[in-house]
Amino acid sequence: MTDSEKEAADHLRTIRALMERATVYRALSAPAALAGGVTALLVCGFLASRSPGHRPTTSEFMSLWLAVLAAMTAFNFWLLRRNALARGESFSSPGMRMALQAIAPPMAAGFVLSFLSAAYRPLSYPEIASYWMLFYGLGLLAMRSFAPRSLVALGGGFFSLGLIGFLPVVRTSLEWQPYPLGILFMALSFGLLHLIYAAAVFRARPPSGDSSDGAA
Amino acid sequence: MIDFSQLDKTIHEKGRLAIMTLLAARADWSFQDLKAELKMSDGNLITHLRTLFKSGYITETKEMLGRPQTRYALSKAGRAAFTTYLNILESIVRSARP
Repeated sequence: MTDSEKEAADHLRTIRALMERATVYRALSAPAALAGGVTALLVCGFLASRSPGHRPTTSEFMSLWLAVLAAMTAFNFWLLRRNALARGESFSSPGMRMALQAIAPPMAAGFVLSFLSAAYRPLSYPEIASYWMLFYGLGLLAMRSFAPRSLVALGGGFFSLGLIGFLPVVRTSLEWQPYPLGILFMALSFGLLHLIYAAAVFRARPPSGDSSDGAA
Repeated sequence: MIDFSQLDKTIHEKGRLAIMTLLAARADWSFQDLKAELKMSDGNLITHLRTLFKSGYITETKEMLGRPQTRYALSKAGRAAFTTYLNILESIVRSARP
């Protein structure tokens, strides 16, 4: 290879790296998804172990999960900040801002609708879980123009489970009481889907240990 | 045989190439975001942006969002020049492969 050819290859690598950095932003890190999935399954296990003797009200159910959400969001932000600083980038990057702008409206809608459901509909555990799955999925799908494929797939999974959760045929065929059904929905979505996502990202990560996950 | 002189010298400089790449990747960028992404000094970035603007490769829009902000985007001529530049680079690399 001549010097000019080496220079051309070097320029192409620079272009590719910059394009990827500018167009791909992973708003949910794999360790945060792993922690979120494990925590969700532990909480579900805890709630299931106390059922049917102890059943929280829908407001208590919602408060508990919002506390989990707050803790996991804080952990995710901490990881994203740490990774951004390690790359010498700003935490409040254009990618981060785009991600927040994309996910905020669906999350707000999901919160309001689940709050109304908890306040006015008794035993609405499955509906609350379905609202969260559906709107979290919509939020992730709203990032599809700049999110890696695995995050879009995660969004698709949540969106599909959220829709399925609202189908009366699912509830009647399962013949579960609303409370255990709500726990099952949470375990399958926020537990299992997050674990699958984390496993997919860890598997796709280059062996060098590079923290950037590319477009996978 | 590839003619290296075909490469657009305005784009070929590394700093300007980085700017053109970012502008090609997203609709528009503010000065501050470009600066943060490329880790360039104000003076360096302004010089490169001015060169690209004079070549007709980028457009700039000034807006007031609490404070004055300038946003940059690729012009039609800039996008065409960047595509041509990429094609030539790819031809060079392809011709080098055994």
